[in-house]
Amino acid sequence: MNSLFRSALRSSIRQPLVGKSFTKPVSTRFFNNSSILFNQNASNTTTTTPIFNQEIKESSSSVSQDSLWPLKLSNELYAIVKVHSNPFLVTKGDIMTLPYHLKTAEVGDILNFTDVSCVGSRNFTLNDDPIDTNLISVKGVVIEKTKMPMRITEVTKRRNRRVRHAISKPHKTLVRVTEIELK
Amino acid sequence: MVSVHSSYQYVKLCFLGNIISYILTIPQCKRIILQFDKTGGSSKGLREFLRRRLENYATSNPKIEFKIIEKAGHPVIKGEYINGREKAICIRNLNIDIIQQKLNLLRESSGAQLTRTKGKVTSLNESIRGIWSPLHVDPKNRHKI
Repeated sequence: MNSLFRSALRSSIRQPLVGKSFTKPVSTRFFNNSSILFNQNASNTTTTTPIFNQEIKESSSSVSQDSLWPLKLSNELYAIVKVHSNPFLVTKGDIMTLPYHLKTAEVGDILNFTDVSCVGSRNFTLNDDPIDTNLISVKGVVIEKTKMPMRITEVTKRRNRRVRHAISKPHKTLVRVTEIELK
Repeated sequence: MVSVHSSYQYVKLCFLGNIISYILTIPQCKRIILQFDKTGGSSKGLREFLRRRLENYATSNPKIEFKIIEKAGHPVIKGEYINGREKAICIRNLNIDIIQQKLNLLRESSGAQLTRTKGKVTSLNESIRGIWSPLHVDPKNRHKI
């Protein structure tokens, strides 16, 4: 079925995207700007709006809602999510391990990922950096905040018998991806 | 060469994932035990914590049971989890602020053993894009020698 769609919609989908990628102005975004929804009263909380929201609207206005319908029909979607410009290729139900302690979010909070560079199915992809937040929604739940297992490295110097043992036990946070959807 | 996904399998996986994600939003730590010595110098910080901050800390975490034990020796805090495991941290000669950090560490972890994962992402799903094979490429675009 998907191969049929591709042949029919090649002219309508592919051409505007290819032309757009060269003309689009570069805009930097950070994870800190993305909003955090709390589990308990998600509707009542006032979410912080991302700073560069206006800029994205102007740049990605050429991607119409109708051109995305082959992606909407597909059962399975993958997305490339960037957290502090660190890319994660995820599907629904995956666990992301972030190699640091997320201080702003607590366990059970829902994260809205706004910096998504790619969404796709088996035959179709939508590439942009970042994709407009009006088109897609990628969400994750903070499962756990733990540490990695302790690692001891032996630090030595030449012509010296002394051995120093450097201990490291860094933080990590686990996030489960709960939603990858096109609006 | 190229695997075909059945939609039924995917729906099943999604359903399982939803259940698991719901369970994981419930706090995994069910009980925290605070063991202190009445006169020992090493449990001075913990005694200060019990006197000043425990009431606020316990009210802010209503789903966790706090149990206080008086026992001779160095002070220890233990976390008991839903999966049946236990984590213990010795907090001798520690400051009141550092003790609160250690309690947060017990509260936020899921009781699982600390393991080193191979990649950034762990998933049960099959790869959505499939495995690339040179035999299935359109012969017009194939590399010719």
